[in-house]
Amino acid sequence: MSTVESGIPGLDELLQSEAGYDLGGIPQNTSTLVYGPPKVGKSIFSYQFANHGLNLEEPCLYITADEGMKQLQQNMIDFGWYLQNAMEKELLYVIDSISSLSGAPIETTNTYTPSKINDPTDLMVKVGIGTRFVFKKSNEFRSVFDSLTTPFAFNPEPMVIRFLKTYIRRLQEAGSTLVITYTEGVADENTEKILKSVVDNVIMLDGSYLTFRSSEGLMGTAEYQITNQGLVLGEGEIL
Amino acid sequence: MNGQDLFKSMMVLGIFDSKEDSKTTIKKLLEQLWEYQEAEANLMVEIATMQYEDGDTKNAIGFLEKSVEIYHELGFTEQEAVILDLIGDVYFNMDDTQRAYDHYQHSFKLCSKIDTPLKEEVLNKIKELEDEIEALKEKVEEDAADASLKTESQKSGYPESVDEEKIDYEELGRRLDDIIGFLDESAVYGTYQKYKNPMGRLKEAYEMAVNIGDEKGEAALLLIMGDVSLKAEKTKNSLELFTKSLNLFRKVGNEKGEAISRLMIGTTYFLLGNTDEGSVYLRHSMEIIKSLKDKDIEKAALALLNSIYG
Amino acid sequence: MIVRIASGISGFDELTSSEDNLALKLGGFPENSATLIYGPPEVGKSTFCYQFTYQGLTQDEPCLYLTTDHGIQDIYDTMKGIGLNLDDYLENEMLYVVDAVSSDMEVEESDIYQRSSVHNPTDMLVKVSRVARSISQKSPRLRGVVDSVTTILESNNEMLIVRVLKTYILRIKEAGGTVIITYIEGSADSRTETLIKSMVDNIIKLDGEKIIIEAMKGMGRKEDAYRTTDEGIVILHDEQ
Repeated sequence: MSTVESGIPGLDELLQSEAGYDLGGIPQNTSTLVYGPPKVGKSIFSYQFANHGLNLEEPCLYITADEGMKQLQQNMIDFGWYLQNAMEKELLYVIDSISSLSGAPIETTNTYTPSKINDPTDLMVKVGIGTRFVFKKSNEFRSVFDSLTTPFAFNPEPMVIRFLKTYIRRLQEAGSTLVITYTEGVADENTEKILKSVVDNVIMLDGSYLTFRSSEGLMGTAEYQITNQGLVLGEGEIL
Repeated sequence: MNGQDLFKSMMVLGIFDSKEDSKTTIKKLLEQLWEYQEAEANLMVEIATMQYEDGDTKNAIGFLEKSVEIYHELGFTEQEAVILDLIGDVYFNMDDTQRAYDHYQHSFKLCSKIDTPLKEEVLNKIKELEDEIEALKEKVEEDAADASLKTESQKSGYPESVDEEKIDYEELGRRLDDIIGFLDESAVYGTYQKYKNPMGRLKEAYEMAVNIGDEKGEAALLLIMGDVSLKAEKTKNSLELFTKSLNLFRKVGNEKGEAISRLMIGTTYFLLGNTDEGSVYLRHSMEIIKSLKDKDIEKAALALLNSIYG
Repeated sequence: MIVRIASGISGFDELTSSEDNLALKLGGFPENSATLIYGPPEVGKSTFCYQFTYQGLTQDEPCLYLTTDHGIQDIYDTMKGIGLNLDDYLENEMLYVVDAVSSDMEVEESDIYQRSSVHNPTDMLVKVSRVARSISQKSPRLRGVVDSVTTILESNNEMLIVRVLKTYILRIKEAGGTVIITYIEGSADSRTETLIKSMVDNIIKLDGEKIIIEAMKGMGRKEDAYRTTDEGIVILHDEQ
């Protein structure tokens, strides 16, 4: 099985097991839900994942739903990750579904387009356009959806789920490896069950431990910390 | 990206290593594109269905229309016809006979090109509507005749009045303000009227209410914007605003708001010279107000009716 | 490196500076961030807000204060009581208040004082946005306070207020603002609480005796004892 380097120090090594799997990273072309309580590092995970890919010249389709583009860039700079280069090379395509709410003037470019947080149809159309753009650059690209939390506040839960299912299907068809973040406790129990069932892998962050569970049944867990260089894993084990 | 660049990037991606020629690859990509587009249209229909069930007819129609465009582009005639018929049904249920008819016609034209059982169904709906439309045409001619009679007796400068007796517009304005004052939110939004550009401020607040999904606020703002429009003698515009407000109040189940907006609509119809329509709304409004068992609103409503009927 | 702004609460900046820049006194709130201050009632959350506001005013940073429990007169008096005199700042129009409490008509509405109601979330949001926009045209920085979101939650559909809060935070940040929001623990549904916590950048708990920094940009969890004195909140930070 081919994999994609996660960019989280310690994670790829954790996933390299002796049990016959050879996961040296996140399985390629799969979808992974990164979830946990607020403030445990889920967004940082997605920044790190995207940034690492960009450093490897792997394009990224980034949908930001919690923070606007300006804030996203600022947050990444706090960790020393700069997007300038990737943007110049048009490797990063951003769909910003939240900035319209901030009253900020938004300029659409080749690789940056706004959408509306309460309009999943428009978002889906933008996803279609973005996917085609990134696919032209490479049919092995990364995609990030950070996060489902704000969409759940602005839309009925079934609508968010429908959107998500179509989003995952489309991006997987186009060859992408997806990371989707979600704050646990924001949607109701049933919806959360569906969320976890709709993705291939789940990564749980609880503030101290990262637990990875793949659709093939592989499970690993490790301690982690948020450092000023992002998430770093300590020693862990495959369960 | 032009053909040459596409070709080059495909070489880099190693697509040609499998010995397929560029025509086949482009075809594959196009097929993928069409699949995405079809999925988009399907999703729009699903969303429209949910919105319709929620009572959000306007947006439901919007998405159905968008999906029709996509099916048209893709050349999916049958799907296009099905959705056009669906839109016709929606308009039919809203009593918008003309629009329902137009959509059924369009659907029928498409059905005629293909072999589908839908063709007969749509034809029947069209026949039913044709009778209704004939009846409507006659009524419109009657009303026009009535109205031209009334204009002769009207004084210049004012919107058409109902009775031969002149309506005291100042008095009417005060009564309307009293009524709107019973709406919980009007205390705050009403203060917008003291600013330089009240309509501008109201619109700003309205957009904000829509963005954050504050339906109570939306409905109240529509009502007040309608009132401002009415005072500026933009009667038709105010009617639109009052009607939107009514629909929203009904959707959220706010009876007081429903009664107040019906009063506003009824009053506006009177000012437009349409007594029959106006009376229907006023009567319905009074029924709701009586059921609210609020003496103060009842008194204010009766005072409003007084200044209309004289 | 994360830029921080002085908090105005004695001992807080020391608590939030890292060991190597302690000498440089670089602690405080991360600039352009949103902080949730939560805890039981009557533990000093409002006092925290007063001190934060005052610090900004003394640094030429305008402050936009949305108050839902105490009217402007109350705030003025209470702040005076802990030695924070607002006279100058009211005069040079640095403090902007949106008062969702007072219904008495004693204080006239103006550019710096507007009334609203917790029953009208759209109106509160519109007024606050307008002020933020106009401040941002004159000043690169501003401080914002929402005291408290609990009262607004009580009078409305909770999810609507979540959306209002999200929009507020976005707009204030867009205007260059750093904002603190107070909340009474347990006053809303757990889903709402989770949403609110996920929408802010920093989370601080006051429990009457300890201040616990549960989450803050660039920092791990920290805590210390504090007291409410007649000069406001004092954090008893012992130098190690």
